[in-house]
Amino acid sequence: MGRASSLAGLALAATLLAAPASAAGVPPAVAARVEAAAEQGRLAPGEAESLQRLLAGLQAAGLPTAPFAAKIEEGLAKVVPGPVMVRALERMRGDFVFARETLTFDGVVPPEAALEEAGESLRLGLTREELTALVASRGPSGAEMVARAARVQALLAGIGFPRQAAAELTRTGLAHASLSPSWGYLSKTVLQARERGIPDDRVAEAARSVLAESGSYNDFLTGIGFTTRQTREKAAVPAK
Amino acid sequence: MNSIDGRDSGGLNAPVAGCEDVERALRLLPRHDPGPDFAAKVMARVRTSARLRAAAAPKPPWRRLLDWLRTPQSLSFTPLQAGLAAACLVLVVGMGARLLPDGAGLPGGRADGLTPVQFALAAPGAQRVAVIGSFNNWNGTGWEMRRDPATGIWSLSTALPSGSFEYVFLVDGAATLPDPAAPQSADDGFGSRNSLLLVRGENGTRI
Repeated sequence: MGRASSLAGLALAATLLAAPASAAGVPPAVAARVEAAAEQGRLAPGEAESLQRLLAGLQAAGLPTAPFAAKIEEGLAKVVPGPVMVRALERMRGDFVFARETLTFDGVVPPEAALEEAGESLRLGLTREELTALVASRGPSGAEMVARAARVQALLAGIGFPRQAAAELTRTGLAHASLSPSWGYLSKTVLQARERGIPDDRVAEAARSVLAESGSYNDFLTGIGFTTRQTREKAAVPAK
Repeated sequence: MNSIDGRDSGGLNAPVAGCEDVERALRLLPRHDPGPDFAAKVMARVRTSARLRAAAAPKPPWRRLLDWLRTPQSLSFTPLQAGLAAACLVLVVGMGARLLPDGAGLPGGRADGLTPVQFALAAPGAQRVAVIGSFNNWNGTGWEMRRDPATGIWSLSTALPSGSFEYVFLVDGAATLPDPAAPQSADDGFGSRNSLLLVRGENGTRI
């Protein structure tokens, strides 16, 4: 750590004094980590300042701080270059702003958890058009279920499940308000079904049918020939 | 009726006569001073007797049960009785498992609601490997994997709550590597990929 990094630390300290991150709901541990990264020369003073400013402005924009703080922790742990981190965080903020605007309907701002789920879904591969379409077809469902649908659709897209089929089944779930939290495991079940030779269109049809009848996820599993025991035993060793 | 020494005690008056003999004999005995602590000794005996009487008094049922449970017991039963008891136990446990919510009580579940998870990575040349992810705030401290010298496979067993997690392996403290065995992954926003882990817990209601 040389003179340059000391100067960087001083510059960042001045920035923090000007706009105390902790006062804006930023976890002190994250602020300290960014500061330490600047002192160690891993982040340029301007990059650290950008991150701190971004964090400090989240609350005023009605966005949750936790996912951004976690993303910074992830970037620092992975030794991601400063400019890449700043760009990723700014893109993430754009996604969250869009998710907040889209999920604000009937004059009600979405709960933080729903906003977080929808915002993350955009990062996971859901397009903004798809999120808008989900909100438009939400039926009696609230923001939480729309966000869940967004995540289900994003995860299905991530494994190459036909996008049209995914959109149809989530729309069905929203129209009947039947997309319970267990449907969040659908992408995992699709992968297991593929291992057993069950084609995606059969899974999609079974899911759509159960959701239309407001059935449970276990009904769906039974419908494609699974038992909860089989899926749980798979889940017991999820990574090898 | 004969007395102990074989002489006839002499009808109804005989006891009176006997008392007089005893009284006379007592008068002939040397006199002893009872001592200044006589009263205290008597009262101590009285209190002891009271405690013994209290101990001998009937106990309430819960107290008797507690005493019985705290006392070593010997039970004896026939093989038939033991078999019937085991069958009843199996029946009760089976019924209980069926009445629990969806899937609860099945193998793989834990009392703390966490699900066992095992991470593994084949990296024979690595010096150290840790798992970092959204479940540990991307901090590998305490999440170091253990290497099997025979196979070169690094592994870590842990338990996680229900939910969706992202993770990578941190190799030698610098390089990050998505799990090559993970069936799902996602763009991490930094130009690389994170492995996705969906943990379905006991009742599968949370994610």
